[in-house]
Amino acid sequence: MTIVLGIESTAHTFGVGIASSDGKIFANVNDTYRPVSGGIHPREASEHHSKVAYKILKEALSISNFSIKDIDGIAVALGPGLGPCLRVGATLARFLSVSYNKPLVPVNHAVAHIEISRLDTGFKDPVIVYVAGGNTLITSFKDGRYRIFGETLDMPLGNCLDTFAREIGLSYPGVPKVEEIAKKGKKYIEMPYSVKGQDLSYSGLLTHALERLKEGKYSLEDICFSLVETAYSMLTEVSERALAFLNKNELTITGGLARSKILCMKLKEMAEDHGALFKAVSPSFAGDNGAMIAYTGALALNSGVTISLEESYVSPLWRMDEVDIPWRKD
Amino acid sequence: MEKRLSSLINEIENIKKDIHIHSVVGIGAEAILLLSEWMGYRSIVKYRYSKRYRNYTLDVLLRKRRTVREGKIMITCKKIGIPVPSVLYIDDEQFIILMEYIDGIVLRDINISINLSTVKEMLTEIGEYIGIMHKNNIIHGDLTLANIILKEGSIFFIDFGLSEFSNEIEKQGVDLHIFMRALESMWPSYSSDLTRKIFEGYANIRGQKTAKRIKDKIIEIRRRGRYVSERRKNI
Repeated sequence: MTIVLGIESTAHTFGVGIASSDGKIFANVNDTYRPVSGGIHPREASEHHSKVAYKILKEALSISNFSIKDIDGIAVALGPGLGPCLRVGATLARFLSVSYNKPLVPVNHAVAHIEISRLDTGFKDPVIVYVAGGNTLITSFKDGRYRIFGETLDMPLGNCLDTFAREIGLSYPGVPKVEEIAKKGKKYIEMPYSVKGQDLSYSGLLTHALERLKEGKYSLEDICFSLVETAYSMLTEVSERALAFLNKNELTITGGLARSKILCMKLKEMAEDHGALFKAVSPSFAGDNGAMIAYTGALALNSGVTISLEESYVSPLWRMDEVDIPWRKD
Repeated sequence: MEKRLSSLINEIENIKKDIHIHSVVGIGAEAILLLSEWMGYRSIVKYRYSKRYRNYTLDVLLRKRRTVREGKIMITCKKIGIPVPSVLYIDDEQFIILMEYIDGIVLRDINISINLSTVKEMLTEIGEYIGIMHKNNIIHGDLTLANIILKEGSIFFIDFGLSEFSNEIEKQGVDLHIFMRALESMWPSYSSDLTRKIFEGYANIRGQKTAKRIKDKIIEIRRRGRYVSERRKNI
């Protein structure tokens, strides 16, 4: 059994987790930067991370009852994410690796979202819907990697709804607030439904929703309802296409939007109609967290994946389908 | 699943009583396909079923729009020489299209390691047909490996459910990008070779200059995506 300490700092959350390769989570301590107004400013978020890093690390170790000497390796999310934020995690990881002579394990943030979801749901070979503020894609394992079977061509779903929320004066995170208003809407207003094969596009939808609002002809409730309904139906449809295409019988959702009950209900109904099982990742593992980096790091270290200090650059644009997954077999 | 299929079959038999249904060919993401007999023809019924996850107004809107568009574009394709099943009947109120049955296999089910040279040849031909569609302002909209049928050495394009009329280079680029992405995810180790073949055929129809413009467009489209390695050149 391999025990790894994992550090997450790709965007707004700084987290430290401790997990073993056989799937035990010993600690998962996270702190999320909340901007007073507007979106996430990378520099401000990275300042937040630097401030809380030591406290979070200490807390994670104390909850787990491990001393850092008991740990087999230090894992860190080197990407994808915001450069200044990634550097905070990478610097701490390198420091721990050198000071305590532990191997350094590179983890792709998106792969970590998938692995924690597989662990949490118990699914062996699911189709995975990964939706968050910065990502919207449908993926599944094939030929040694997580291949992408559909993704947004422009804006991620979370970003679309967060931006709409910000434009109407709601603070971050906007998704749950827009959903609350949407529940009061009744009338469906036609919006651009942009499914292109297995891919989607959300930028036109956002612009359209904001324009409808400016017109003043429709109520905010109906616009939110139509926006949410269109955005989630589009995602459910491309997920359905991937599920039908791959002929798999498990569907899961991971990432921040896994907390959305409306979206989960749509995915569940769709999966049932195709004779597939649906489970969402638990809320505590939905958003960015340290545990997923630790667990994925433990799987990777177990398969001999490490990185030298000199090579441990951050990769803000690191695509998930560039990562070999040696711990899974077809 | 069985229960759901039989209830969908019932639904169709109630809508269109002169169809004799033989068997379920497949249930896709948006429609059920049934092998049936209609006025003596062996035909396929494509019925766009309702999605309970979708708002009813949106659901009806999408099913109707896609049924009409699919029928219209298939008929146009036939006229300009794209191999597609013949359309026999369209009902936009009940979301049904009746079409000729093509008894073949889909590209996805081909064993590429045994049939590599045949697949390469076919991809040149497919590239040519895509070129003809684009030249005639038709965007297929869903060029996946499950939407191309092979029958006795001939190619047939199916599933025009997401197709549209457009001459935008952007949409032509996305059309080809989707097909390339499908090849990349299905046969990753052969994909660069196969992609080259598609462009060969495409350029045969549209000329090198236009083909180059579309190619550049695809690079641009891919750069716009999330975490794309092509983007790194610009950093």
